[in-house]
Amino acid sequence: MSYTTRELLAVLTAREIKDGWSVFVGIGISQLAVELAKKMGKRKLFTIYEGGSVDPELKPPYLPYSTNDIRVGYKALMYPSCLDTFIYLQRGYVDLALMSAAQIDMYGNLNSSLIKQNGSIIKFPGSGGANDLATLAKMTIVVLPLEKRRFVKKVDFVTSPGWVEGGQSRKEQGIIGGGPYKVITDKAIFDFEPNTKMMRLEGVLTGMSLEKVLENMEFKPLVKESIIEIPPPTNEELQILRSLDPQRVFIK
Amino acid sequence: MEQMCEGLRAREYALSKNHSLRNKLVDVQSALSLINDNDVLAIGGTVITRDPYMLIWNIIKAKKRNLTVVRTMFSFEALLFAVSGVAKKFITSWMSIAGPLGISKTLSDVLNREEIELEEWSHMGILNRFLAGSMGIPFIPTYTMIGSDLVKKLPVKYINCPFTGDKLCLVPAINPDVAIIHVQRADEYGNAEILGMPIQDKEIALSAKKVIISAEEIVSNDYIRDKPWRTLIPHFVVDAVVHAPFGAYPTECQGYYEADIDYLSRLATIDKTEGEKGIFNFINDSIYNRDSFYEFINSISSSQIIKRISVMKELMRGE
Repeated sequence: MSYTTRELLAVLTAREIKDGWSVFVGIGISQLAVELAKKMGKRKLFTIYEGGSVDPELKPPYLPYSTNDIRVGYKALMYPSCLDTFIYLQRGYVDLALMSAAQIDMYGNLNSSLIKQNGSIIKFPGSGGANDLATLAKMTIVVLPLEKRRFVKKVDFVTSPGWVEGGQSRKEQGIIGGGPYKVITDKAIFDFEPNTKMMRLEGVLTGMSLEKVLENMEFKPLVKESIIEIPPPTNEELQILRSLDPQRVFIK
Repeated sequence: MEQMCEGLRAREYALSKNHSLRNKLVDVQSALSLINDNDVLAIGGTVITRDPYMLIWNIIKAKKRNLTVVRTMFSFEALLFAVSGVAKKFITSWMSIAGPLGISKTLSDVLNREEIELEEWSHMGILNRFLAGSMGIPFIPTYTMIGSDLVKKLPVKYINCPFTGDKLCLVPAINPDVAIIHVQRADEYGNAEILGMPIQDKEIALSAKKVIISAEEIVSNDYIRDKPWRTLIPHFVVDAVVHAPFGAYPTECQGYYEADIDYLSRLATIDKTEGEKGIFNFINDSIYNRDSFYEFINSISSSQIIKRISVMKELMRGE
């Protein structure tokens, strides 16, 4: 079965989420990934949405418009206040936060605030809870397409600190959250080398060459000794994913 | 002059108010007289949940000016406030028309031209500002935003915890002049029930100096006393109550109707294809050229409204 970039990102993300985790999610690819993970048998994990909903069910075809509308409220366990969802993060009850960004650097620092282009600055009006997730979650997974304009040597703005300048620098800054755990793209998956905290190639999608991966990055990541081959989405994964988003709102 | 922190000024103001159980049910014009040009205005709900659009519509129509508008996350009303000239500054963590409709290009252009100031916080950062304001204390210490470029332009301070030495970020309280909040039910004294997601409206109401409540239904004081566990905002922080059925439309009011995404999509299309001029025409057609908010509501087809009511019934069971 053929698939779109977004479908691929959702499937690869679903595979990386471990059963039993508490997962702080946004709408779009990250919600679909978690719901797919649940349907694939990971029944002990649950979700938290910053608008104020704990573990709602996605009810197709009602895909949500935001993290706070009734479409992320169906069959939820609880509607906490928005601040309470962040208190759960700060208090230590969130295992994983799923994130995306306009730019990422080799230490997993993320920019979702502005882009510098030909001498002018294009501001995005707000980054919402991105910084809070990156700062406070036990770990984060960053999901974004592998593109040279996104994987940059230096991000234009640090909205959400990752491993800062590598080594112990994140901890030295006083950031309490565990930091980036993996980076999932449509061509490869990266982790971070435990000592230097530099991004490290862990696996490539079947049929994708190392050259093609590096071509799409402005910086050169470390490469693990034995790179794993990531199998493409199975028919079962795609069928379930498409049943979650039948009108292809987020997976087009 | 003796310096007094914002929270103590808000406390002085609260102490000077009449706290009695009394009828505060007024028409929208009387309620709007509580909002002055140059005020700091806080908006309840978030993004497309309980946007108090009936009050917002009337603020735009009344041509209030130079407001600093605070909302934890803005939806389409930020775009209308920007183009209509109501706002001089936004304080927020997010602005989009609605998730999949994305960011308004027109609003981005206005902000990039720096015609309107934008003060951007992290979501938890701005929520903590309301929490501090609601508690009447000057700041809240938090671990969030540390090490980010976000704080470079913000009035935060770092301290080392006086007990342990931990690095902490202090976010200052906010005590807006007026808060406007749409709720499902209130009595004429201002005791307000919020069904569904509470967002941060309890803290927003308590942080503001004056509070205007709009409510889908005005219920009796007996009704409130029958189910006191549902009251989220107490009468004594409320200054005016306005009866506003469909008062959050085209955003959602949980238990009543969900957001009219088709209406918001049309706005997003105008935003993309016609820019500021298109948005201005939209404001003319839907606000300036109409006599009342209910003339605007009547312009929406009843089948659209019925659809939103029935989806809400399907998703929010038991209400």
